[in-house]
Amino acid sequence: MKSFLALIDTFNARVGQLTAFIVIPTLFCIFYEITSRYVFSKPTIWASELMIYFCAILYVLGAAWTLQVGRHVKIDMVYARLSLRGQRILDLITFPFFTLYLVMLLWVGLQFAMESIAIHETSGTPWDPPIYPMKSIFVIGCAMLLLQGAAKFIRDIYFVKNGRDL
Amino acid sequence: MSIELITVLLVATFVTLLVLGLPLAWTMGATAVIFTVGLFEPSTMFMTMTRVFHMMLNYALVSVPLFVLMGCILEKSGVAEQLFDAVYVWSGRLRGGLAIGTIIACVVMAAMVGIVGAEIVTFGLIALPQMLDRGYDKGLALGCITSGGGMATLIPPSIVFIVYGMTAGVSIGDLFIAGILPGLLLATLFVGYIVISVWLRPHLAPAASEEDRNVPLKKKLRMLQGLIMPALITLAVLGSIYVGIATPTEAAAIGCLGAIISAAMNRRLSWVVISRACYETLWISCMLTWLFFGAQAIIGIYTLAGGATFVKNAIMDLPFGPWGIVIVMQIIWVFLGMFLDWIGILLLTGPMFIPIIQSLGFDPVWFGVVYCMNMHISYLTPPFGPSVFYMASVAPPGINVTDVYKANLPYLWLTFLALAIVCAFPGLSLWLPSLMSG
Repeated sequence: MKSFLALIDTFNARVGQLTAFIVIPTLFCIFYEITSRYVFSKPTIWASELMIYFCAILYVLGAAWTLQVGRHVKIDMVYARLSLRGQRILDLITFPFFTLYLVMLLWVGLQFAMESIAIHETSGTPWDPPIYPMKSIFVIGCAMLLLQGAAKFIRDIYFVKNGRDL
Repeated sequence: MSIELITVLLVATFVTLLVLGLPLAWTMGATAVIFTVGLFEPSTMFMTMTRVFHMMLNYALVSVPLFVLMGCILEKSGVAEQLFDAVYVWSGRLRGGLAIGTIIACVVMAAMVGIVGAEIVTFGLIALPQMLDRGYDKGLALGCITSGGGMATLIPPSIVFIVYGMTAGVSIGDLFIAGILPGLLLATLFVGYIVISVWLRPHLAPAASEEDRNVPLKKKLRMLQGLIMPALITLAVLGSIYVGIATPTEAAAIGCLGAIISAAMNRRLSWVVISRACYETLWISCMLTWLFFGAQAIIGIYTLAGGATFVKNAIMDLPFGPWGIVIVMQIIWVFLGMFLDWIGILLLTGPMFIPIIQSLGFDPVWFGVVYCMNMHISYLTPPFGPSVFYMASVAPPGINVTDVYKANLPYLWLTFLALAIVCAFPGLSLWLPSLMSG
């Protein structure tokens, strides 16, 4: 079990670390667009759209790693005053709500993605690239988040039960 | 179920989950799902999903990671140190010069960095030890860094303005430009306060030492080099937005390039700096965007249930007149600011308040500036004052959170004064954007 949880951590962190560098091609898209618009007077139809997709990948595939490092903001006026064990118990109580939301996003997102793949949906812009990869990636991001949440849940149960970290 | 009851239950669910320590993003989403299933059919989630995708593929949202990246690189580029040194050497003769210099350096830094935390932490580490070493009053030193650094919310490029612009559907460029004069007004009030208080009570700030006073002119001029890159970056980012040749997203990319060049010039550019900046950017961007997704879900479902109309009618029925309503909204913000961060307040109240403001004949851009000033206030007030926490986290031992709250009191009153001026004279924020081309 321990190594399985570590596998989830490593997977989400690696994907996140890799995804983080997507801001660099995003910058290149913008510089390319600015240069072609002002230097060559030939604005592109794809650069502004492509950078949106790059950033969307950033938000979606980085979310699980952000959860792992604990960067999603919470209100800790009560939470911070509790013992470590108390905090873990609260996390156990709120976990079903996190799961409810993410499972719902996963379920609806999956149907969006399947439909999009089935009809080879495109974005409908002048460039008109296929849009289904973006919708599919959203489902993957939700699955990664759920896995990360579940890993934390198992660790919390172990901690509350045995008084030490798994 | 009546809309009043729905509102009460929704708020109760939301607050309960939040207090139990569920992160805000999941709290908003889970509340939305519970009420979607409870009030409508689960298929209503498809509407939510459409809203989430719309947000995910939003052009303006791209500027968020880019401005964050720019700030993260600048933070590690050594620009803040040079800036502080230059301002310090030039204001060395003045009594209280170091504190005044800090405010000025904060303004310049705020014109490049849009995140409050980064700025306060940076100057807390650079300026605070210098001031304490030279015998400055603890309160004066803590106050000028915390309040000065907090101006990053108001002085463009501010992430708060980007989110406000996306929520209100107004031009982010206009908001940026509208924040300039109120930001300068606030800085002027702060500087004026420091000048007067050290003049009345000289023990707050000792006179500059012989050594500090007699810096050779040549050295002084060399120090000015530290101002070149910040000036260029600010000019490129805000100038290109103002003239209308670049969107805020493109201006952010230009700013990133400027930040990378600054770091390279200071020999601070390394793989570690770039990768740390990219990681930090990912964390902040993911935290923000999943909040947007959650807000889309909860606002979408509340609006569908008739909540937006309900809030609008309730507020419009208040017997206070248009200005009274503006004041009531600000009181609500300050109240929420005791528990929530700026982003939560904006995402939850913005979609309700902004249409009301527009129907009352106020300008949404002006209202954005008012919002930012309110957040500057809420950042300095207990029990949840993020600016104060940032400052306390880098202050030397012996300085606690209460000291920082107390140190900020005079600046807090000045911010209220500036807020009143900005409210009373909308032209102060709207004049510059009205000159913009396009």
